[in-house]
Amino acid sequence: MDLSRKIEILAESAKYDVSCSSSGVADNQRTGSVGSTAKAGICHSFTSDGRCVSLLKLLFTNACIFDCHYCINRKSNAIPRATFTPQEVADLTMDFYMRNYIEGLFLSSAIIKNVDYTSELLIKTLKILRHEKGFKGYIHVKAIPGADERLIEELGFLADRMSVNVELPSRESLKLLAPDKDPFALYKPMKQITHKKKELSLVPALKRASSFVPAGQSTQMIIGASPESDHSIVKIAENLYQKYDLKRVYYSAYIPVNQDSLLPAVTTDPPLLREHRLYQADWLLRFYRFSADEILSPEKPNFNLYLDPKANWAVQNYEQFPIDVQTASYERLLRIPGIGPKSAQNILKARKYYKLHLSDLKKLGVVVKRAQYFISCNGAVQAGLIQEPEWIITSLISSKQYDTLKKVNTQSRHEQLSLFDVERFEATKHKEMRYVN
Amino acid sequence: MSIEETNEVWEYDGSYYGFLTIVYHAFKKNCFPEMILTPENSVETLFISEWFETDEELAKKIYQRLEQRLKKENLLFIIDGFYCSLKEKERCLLDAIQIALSTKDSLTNHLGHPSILALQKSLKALFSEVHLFTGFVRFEYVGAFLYSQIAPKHFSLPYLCPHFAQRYPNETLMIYDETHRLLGIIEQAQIRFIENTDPPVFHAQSCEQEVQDNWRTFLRAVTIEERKNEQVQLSHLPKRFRGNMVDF
Ligand code: SF4
Repeated sequence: MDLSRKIEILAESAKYDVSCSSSGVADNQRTGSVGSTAKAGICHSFTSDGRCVSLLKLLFTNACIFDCHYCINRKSNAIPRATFTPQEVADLTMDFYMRNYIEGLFLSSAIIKNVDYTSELLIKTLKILRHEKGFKGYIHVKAIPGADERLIEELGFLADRMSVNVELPSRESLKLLAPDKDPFALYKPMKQITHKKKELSLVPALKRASSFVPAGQSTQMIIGASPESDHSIVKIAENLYQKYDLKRVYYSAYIPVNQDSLLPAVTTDPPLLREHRLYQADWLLRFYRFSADEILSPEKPNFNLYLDPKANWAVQNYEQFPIDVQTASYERLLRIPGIGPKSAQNILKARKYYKLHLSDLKKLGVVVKRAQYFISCNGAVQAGLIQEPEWIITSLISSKQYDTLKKVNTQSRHEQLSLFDVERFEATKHKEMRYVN
Repeated sequence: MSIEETNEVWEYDGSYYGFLTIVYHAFKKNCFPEMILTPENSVETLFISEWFETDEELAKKIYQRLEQRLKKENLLFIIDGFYCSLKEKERCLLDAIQIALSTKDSLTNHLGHPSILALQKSLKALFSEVHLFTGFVRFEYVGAFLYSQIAPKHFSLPYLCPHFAQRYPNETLMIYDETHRLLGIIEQAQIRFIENTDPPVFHAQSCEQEVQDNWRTFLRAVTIEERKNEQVQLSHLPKRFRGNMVDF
């Protein structure tokens, strides 16, 4: 099979793997003669679906011996199969890197023969790149769960970032939809990488420490292939950040690729809006000091798809507002919709010497249109505001936004349990529209 | 230090040393002209201008003086400002130099002044273009070295070259900027420029077809049909960058 055909098959198979997050490693300690890892993300191209391309994202092989139901590459599918050689992947990476098409390589793989054999092939590829070609650029590689610990470690010294995909948010779903995978083996490499990094960091003199997975590890979860609630997904993400010090959790809306009685029909649209809300919640975990149980709860386990999670939290906890921007702590400020880490910091600085007035907030980067319902300044609130949760929700979403969201919302009604009654909301919106006309 | 604003029109050759010569005269005479022209834009106007000949010696001295008296970041702001594509930037720069001389503060804290604001905006546009080009420049091998052609709106090339010098420390590369007719040459991480030149002509053949085909195959394969959104693609990768890219 010629190389071009292999690229076609094996790039196509890898495309659903998200994580365009390129390097983010300040110049690393690797030896070599070609390349560097840039700090700020560099996008080299944009596909016609609008996603940034910064890495050569490939599957080493799609000839899988496993049969995961949600996966296009499962062995029971009759699809064209291909396998690269380590030399081919290394050459292609260098070809593209030298012409400035890419920032590095993102290499994943289906399971060929067995997990150890697959890992060995990945190691061989990375060794050619690092040792023979002197490549210092960015490499993100998938650790194969279940592979021998020594192999995982070896891979860790060759790559910048490693990821172990959780794939499905619960053990039950994994058992059902990925019958060949051992749910327990899944978290093992993650744990191993965390431990190894910690162990190496205790001996700073060891130069090796800085070349073991320097850009940390990440994972990916498929959303919408199995019945887990948003709450349980956010809980898992929180756990992963805390326990394994993960750099990122990626969420990928399931695009039905297989006809399978256990899965949504192939005609179902991917739950993109839900994916978007999960990314927003993820931000709240990482940058806003929220805990998963604050964002959602077992009683209200799913996102309000029409309202971002932070605004949703604020409306549901309305008794905690208004928060006074003159006196509130940094953590409290971050809770206010329309205030982000930067504007919160600006407020802290500005109020040291001045008594803030509501009209100052815009200059400090606050989105006053959102924040106004939730703040006071030295006891004063915006005059004429009706402070009632349901009314606030209506004001936070414009009719136009609502219509757009409705269009992209592919989920059925029973999935969007929310604080407000969608029908009533719609009625208010239409009344408002009539009024405007 | 109060400087007299006159309604004179000055003209110089548009070079960096030429501008520093202008700076010398402005401060020596203690007056700022209303307009400063270069041969490029003087034809568009009918104003009678006074010509100032570039004096390299003098320019170097002025540069040293500025270096001694200005904060490092302010000096950088002014030098970078010279390379942005702002109409009448020279006049704004004179203001910037005067403000920088009379304050201990950073120039970016003086955005209230229209000249500083205009320069700052223009610098932002320049740096954002430089950042985009770090990804959108496409090289091809011509014989043993890498060649690229770009058409930037701003004077981006000198800011771009250090990035590629670091990326390819052992290679020889050339980047030609069509807009400003400037050729950047990087040899083993050493950078130099040839100004006002035509694109280089090569005798060696480029045999890049296969690699470029592979790249396009890859791009096609990673596109997710279900998420097609050319509008977003256009906003991230505007048409003006696409001319020299093999992706399309
Ligand atoms: S192991 Fe499962 S998910 Fe991975 S490629 Fe094979 S079938 Fe797909």
